[in-house]
Amino acid sequence: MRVLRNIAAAVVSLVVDDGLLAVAALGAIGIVWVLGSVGIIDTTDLTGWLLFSLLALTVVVSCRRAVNRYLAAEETPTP
Amino acid sequence: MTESVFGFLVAVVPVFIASVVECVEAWTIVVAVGLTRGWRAALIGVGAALGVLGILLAIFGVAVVDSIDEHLFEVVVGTLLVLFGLRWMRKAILRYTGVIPLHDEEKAFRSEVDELTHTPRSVGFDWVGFAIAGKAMLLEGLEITFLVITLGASGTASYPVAITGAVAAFIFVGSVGFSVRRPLSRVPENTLKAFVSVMLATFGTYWVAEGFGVDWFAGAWALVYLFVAWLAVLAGTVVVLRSALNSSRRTYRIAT
Repeated sequence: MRVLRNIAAAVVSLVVDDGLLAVAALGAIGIVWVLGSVGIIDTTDLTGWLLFSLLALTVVVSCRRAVNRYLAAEETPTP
Repeated sequence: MTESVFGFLVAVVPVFIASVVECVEAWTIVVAVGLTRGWRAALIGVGAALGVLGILLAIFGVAVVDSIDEHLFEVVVGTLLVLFGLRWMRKAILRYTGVIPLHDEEKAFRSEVDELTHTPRSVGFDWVGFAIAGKAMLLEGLEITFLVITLGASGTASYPVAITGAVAAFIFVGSVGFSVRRPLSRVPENTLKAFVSVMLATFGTYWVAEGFGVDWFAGAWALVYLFVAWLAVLAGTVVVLRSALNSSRRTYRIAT
């Protein structure tokens, strides 16, 4: 059972590193799907670019958060 | 013709490059086990891990291809590739920015050797060496299996092509590794990983959008301009975050 749990954890960690990045990426895909299915956006490649832009934004924001955390840790004086 | 060439490249190139990176990482552990505890347990461990990976590939690969309709398949595979690619891209950006250290096989090897030489040896078969080498191959191989399943089953590409890419990488790294009996620290792993992350994000974005019914301008050639766009995101983010990091450090120094 422990081996299976370890394999399952390894499989999950393949796609999820920063949990928020994974959730935001899924959210971006979900937004494009909803907009497409209700007909707000059409199926030209502009929709593809909207998807790309949202996904790119999630990576940039996730990295920016990591840099901010890193700076905060660096600037916190050690006792 | 163009479609089949794209299919081939899509299946074989990222799988081969990613597999080289993963095999190099696994090799570092395997060579550490081999040199400190003997090659027999290390190689049997690798063989056992390859057996498990082969079973996973056979079960999940066939299940994924046979059970999902084309559009849903593109969305599911594309989403997995996006998640996997963005995860690698985030790591690559943070590595190049200096937030997390660059992957260093020589350092990993020394730390592994240090730990293994202090682990007591049992009488008879070395189960510790077997488990450590097997676990390393299994964990790194899971990423390869994942890519073979997703990329091998997408578009006009097929499993045999993707599997060939992975096997070629395994043979390449194994033969070079065995001839030098050292970790392969000269392989530019960090660059290769960044390159693969851009490829995976490209394929993921392309397929998710196709699954939603998007007609990309220039068809499959969209992969080329999407690749350039993702590369620009990676490079641009590294430049911007590096400068933000440096300016924040300067401000902090002045303030203190």
